[in-house]
Amino acid sequence: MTVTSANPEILSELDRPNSYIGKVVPRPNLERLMQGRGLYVSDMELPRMAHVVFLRSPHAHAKIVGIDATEARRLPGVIAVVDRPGACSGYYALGRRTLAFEGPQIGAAARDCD
Amino acid sequence: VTAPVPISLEVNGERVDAHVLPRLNLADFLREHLELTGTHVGCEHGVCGACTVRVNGDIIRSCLMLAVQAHGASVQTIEGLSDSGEVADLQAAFRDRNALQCGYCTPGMLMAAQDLLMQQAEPGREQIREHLSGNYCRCTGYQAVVDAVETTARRRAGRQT
Repeated sequence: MTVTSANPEILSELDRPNSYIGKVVPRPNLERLMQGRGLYVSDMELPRMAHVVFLRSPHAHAKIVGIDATEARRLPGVIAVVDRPGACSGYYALGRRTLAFEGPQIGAAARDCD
Repeated sequence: VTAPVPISLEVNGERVDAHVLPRLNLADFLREHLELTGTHVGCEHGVCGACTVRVNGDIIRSCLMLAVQAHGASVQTIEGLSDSGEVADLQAAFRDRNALQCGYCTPGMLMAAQDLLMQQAEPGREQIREHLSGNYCRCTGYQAVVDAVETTARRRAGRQT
């Protein structure tokens, strides 16, 4: 079997005069990033934006018998508490009824920003 | 402990008076109350260094300091250091060496690097690494950052590259 190597005489796509390969590429966004003036997702503030807090299971293996969210609902500014079983039986809004790991999300509460 | 507390401090040379909840940390105060979003919040427990700011001349983790603790203090953020031109040469070296990609860690890196260069005229690469060991970068890596800090140190000491 013969191996045919690429003919060095023939230029490839990478050798085009406008190729980026091997070139220093200007980065016009660096100035603002270095001055702390970039805009990241966490820097954005949108109209009527709310913050969400996830309740995580403190147990490694447990069955959710019930979640008492009355106190969370009473707090000022709370928009919603999501803790009901979903349409699919056996599943909570954000997870299965039986937990096999520590830390999965089992509930969420949203409140307006202040 | 849920009532707002009046505080007054100096931020980037400007006097600031505000009422803050006692639980509010300095990073969130700078970002949300003063809209100085150059101070970034990464890990929120003092490990990643993205929230590094200068308080009374020392660099600190602003996610581990409460806003009320900064009462009466002088705070400097990346915006202040940029506008005063204090780190202009360091920023130029970062750009030349391409020492950032997403730039999220960069304000903290610059704060920590400037702190080292103020303490020591010509630190070695190991010392630079040690001083920046509390600042995590998750995309560029540290080689280019150390190069940029080293170059700046040499230039400030009056030696070329």
